[in-house]
Amino acid sequence: MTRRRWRITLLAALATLAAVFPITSLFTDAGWLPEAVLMVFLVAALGLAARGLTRSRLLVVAVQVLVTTYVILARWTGDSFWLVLPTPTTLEAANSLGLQALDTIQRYSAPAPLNDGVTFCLIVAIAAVAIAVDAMAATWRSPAAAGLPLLTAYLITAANGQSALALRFFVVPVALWLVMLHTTARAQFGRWGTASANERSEIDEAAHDREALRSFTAGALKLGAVGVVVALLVPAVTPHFPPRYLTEGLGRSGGGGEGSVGFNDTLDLARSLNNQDQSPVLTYTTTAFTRAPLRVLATSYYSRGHWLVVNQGGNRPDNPASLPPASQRRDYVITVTDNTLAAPRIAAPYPVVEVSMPGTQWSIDPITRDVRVATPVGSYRIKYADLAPSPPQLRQSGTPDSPDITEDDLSIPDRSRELVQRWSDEVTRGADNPLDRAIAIQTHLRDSLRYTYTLDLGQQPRDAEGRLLEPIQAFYQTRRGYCVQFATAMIMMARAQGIPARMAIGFLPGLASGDNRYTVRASDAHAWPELYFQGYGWLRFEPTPGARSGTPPPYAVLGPGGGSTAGGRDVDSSSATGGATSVRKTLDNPAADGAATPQPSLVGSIGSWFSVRNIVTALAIVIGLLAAFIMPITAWWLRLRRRRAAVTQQELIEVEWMDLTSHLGDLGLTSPDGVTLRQLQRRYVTEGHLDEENAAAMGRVTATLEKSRYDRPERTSPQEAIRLHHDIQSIRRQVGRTRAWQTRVKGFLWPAAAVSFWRSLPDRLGALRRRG
Amino acid sequence: MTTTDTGLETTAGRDGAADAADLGLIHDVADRLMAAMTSVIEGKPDVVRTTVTVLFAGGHLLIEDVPGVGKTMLAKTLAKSIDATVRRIQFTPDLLPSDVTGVSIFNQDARRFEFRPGAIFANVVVGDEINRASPKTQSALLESMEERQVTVDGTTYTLQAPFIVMATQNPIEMEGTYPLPEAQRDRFMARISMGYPSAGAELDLLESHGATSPLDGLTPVTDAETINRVLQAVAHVHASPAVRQYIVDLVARSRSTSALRLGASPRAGLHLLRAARAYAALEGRDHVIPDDVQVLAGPVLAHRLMPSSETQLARRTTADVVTDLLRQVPVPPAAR
Repeated sequence: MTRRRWRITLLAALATLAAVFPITSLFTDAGWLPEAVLMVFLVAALGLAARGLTRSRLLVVAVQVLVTTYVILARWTGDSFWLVLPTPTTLEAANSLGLQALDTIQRYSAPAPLNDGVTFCLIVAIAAVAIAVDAMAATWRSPAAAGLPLLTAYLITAANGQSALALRFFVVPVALWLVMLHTTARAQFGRWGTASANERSEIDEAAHDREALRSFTAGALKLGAVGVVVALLVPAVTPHFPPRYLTEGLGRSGGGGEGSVGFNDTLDLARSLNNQDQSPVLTYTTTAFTRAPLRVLATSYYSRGHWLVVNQGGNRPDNPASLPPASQRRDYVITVTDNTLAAPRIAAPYPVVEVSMPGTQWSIDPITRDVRVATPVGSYRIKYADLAPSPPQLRQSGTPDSPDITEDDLSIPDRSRELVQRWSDEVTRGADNPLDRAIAIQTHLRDSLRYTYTLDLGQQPRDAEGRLLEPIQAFYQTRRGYCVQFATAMIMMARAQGIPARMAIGFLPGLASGDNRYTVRASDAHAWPELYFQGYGWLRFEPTPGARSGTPPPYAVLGPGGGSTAGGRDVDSSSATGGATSVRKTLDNPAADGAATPQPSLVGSIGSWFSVRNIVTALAIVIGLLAAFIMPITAWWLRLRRRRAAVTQQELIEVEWMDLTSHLGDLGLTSPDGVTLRQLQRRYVTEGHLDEENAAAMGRVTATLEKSRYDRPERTSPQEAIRLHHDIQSIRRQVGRTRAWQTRVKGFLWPAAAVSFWRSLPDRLGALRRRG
Repeated sequence: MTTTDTGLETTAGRDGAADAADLGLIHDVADRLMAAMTSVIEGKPDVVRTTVTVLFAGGHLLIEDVPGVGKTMLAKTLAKSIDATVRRIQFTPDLLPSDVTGVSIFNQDARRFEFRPGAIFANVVVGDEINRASPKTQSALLESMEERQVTVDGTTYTLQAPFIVMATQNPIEMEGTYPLPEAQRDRFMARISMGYPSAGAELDLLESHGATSPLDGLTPVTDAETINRVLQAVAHVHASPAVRQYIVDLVARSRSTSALRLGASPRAGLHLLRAARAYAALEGRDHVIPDDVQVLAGPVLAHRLMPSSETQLARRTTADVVTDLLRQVPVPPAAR
């Protein structure tokens, strides 16, 4: 048996290491790894030693936790120790290390630099995982449960990582976990085998099913293995998983890290949004405090449910219309590096004022102001204007009349015209100028109670004749979609209200990657509407709800009735700082900048769910739940312990009986000291309101127990213990039904057995100390 | 139990089958005895049952109650139901120890002392009004009751088996009585009291006891040898460690409780176990359960205990204290 525990302990340690190893991909260097290995093996050694010394499992875990905590504290905050003892300063030191880690995690996306705080938190987490795995696998001998902490460790890495984890990171821990299961199962059957060889005949009878049980376990093991294989295979054959945008759509066009990204003509963003690849499309620095989305192109041409880029000929002006004078705008400079976007497209905030792209030919589309390049360009600098007209000015803007506006900017597909007209009239009711209508439409679409942001559009609805609905009608019906659907809906509704509108496609501003730099990934792809206001040009709106969306511009967040004259001054700070009148423009505070622009991508937001604060909250919730259910858990554990300790038939029967008496005691049917079995039986039957069947069951139970307790021991057969179990279950159910729910809840949450366990704990610890 | 029947030994030797056979015998004898006794002692099934239990356990019985409730009748009924030697001793203040045990008399013809056995030399001895004799005479019973032998003038005479003493006594507050010494009380396995009959039973009593004594029609339903075999069989009733522990717990608690000045003796525990075995056999079981012990704890323990002054002041009897003990002592196996 000791050999088995050795083996299990070793396996648990290896499995823990295998599960935490992928964390190497989250940090720039692996300096934490030796420490982690040391800590995992320290936990294992402590477990081995403690299990050799005491039978109390809780004590083993307590020893592991205490010693490991001490070692970690001594290693990282040893300076604050007084001689060899931690002091209150130690806690402060640990706290500041934690804060440092928190800051690092918030500031950097993976791979993050490694510092003391991060290493400290990492080692604490790994030690916790190691203790949990060791406790479950070796101390409690339930390696199945040890899969949970292993999975948690693995998932945290997988969710925070930049790219999908390699297969081996999953296979190795799982294989070790299966070996643990197998080893434990074999050890337990080994125990059965020796028992049946030495013990009396009745156990032999019970053990004659051993073969069946063994084949059952083998079957379970096979099932587990099949489950793992399926877990590996299913994602491999499921669409969307290995991203197909490699050949089409937006994404990296070539293998390796040096490819380029391009848009296809149908502008289907779903693939890009589903993109699991985390390699950046581009990185940039900006002088702006509030970062604007980076537009790649705009188009007004909508046909058969798709936005298309067409080369319009005819009455195109030669130059773009001039921008408002410099006094009415604010110019910023964005410097893009590591650009992988395929030519002829580049990404830049709208509207572009100046382009600096040495050595590369570029042109600007006079209508859409897209910048195009002849050859792929790695880095460029673009000056752009932040047009921030105030709402009153916009409200007074005249009727759109500009060579920029084409017929396409006001066209609505015939099939949806009626619906869009009705819908937009309803939404904009009461708004008497274009801005208020636009805001009304945007507010309507951003209502996440009404509309659901999802990449999964589900089954597309069909009309009565079985034809697929026009996408706008489909969106109206299903009320679900992603940025393209929301943007399209807003464009069409605006056009229905007489506001020229077009579709802009590009990227959200991306996430801070430190050093005042921002990284845009393929999954940051976004679509938004641009509406034309006479005198101000095309203005961005943001109808997409949810986390994976941009911040609405300041002129678009005031309610229609808000008569404020200052553009965005009384909106929240993140918007107000970008307003025309804002002077709070600080460029030397990138962290605040990052925090002030909550535009995380989906993967980023999943990653942010695993922030330290959320983990602490989750842990607190788990601990709170554990605390709330500590009594039922204790009772369950006590029952399990008793059951495990029972060897003979008599002991098994006593355990069953104790389960019954304690359960009925919790339901208000107590068993006083001087009461014999028969008296108790009568009491249970009358006060438990047992029906005839259960009264007979009760009679059988007491008869069996009486026989087991007071008759010659050899007369009790194993079958009786089994029948007893069924009878007791039945009685418990019936008595439970006759009790008020308050009694049942109290009996569940506050079982007397657990209460007395905790009450007697100090005494028993005292006794343990004396014995020790 | 000094006599052993060869046939009996073989029966007892075959382990498993012996239990069933013995239970049958016990059941059979008990049925007949109780039927006979119930025909005389009407409306008192519990008293009859306890009496038979004590007989089967090989113990002595003390019947205590006020005059006129049928104590003597009970003793005589039992005696007459068994085909065995029956002697009756009417204890009086002037009764001498030699009247009980016997006396050596000089035989002129043989020119030597001859032992003339006293009233104690019988299978069933009915000691009427035992507490009217002086403690000196009562003490003459001590050796015979416990060791089933009599020593007179240095010679020890063994008594026949079975040997059962059924003594009646009035409550000690009654006029002209001496309280039984503790040592002697301890030798009685159980004390029962008759209690007044129910109204219906009393009515029947008046009607039927008019002309003839109900004892007249009573014929023996069993004999001494059968009783010996029953005694043997009862000894084979299984008493599990849990039951023995329960008895020890009960007895131990009686010694530590503040309600008693004198607790139960080790002999009390032995008697309780033996009685419980007999009771279990009467119930048709070959193993003792705590219920048996609880039923018999009152009759077996109460008369041996001496109440503390607080208990006396509270006008509580030792039987009440025993009931309390039963309520307090957990029935093993208790929760571990």
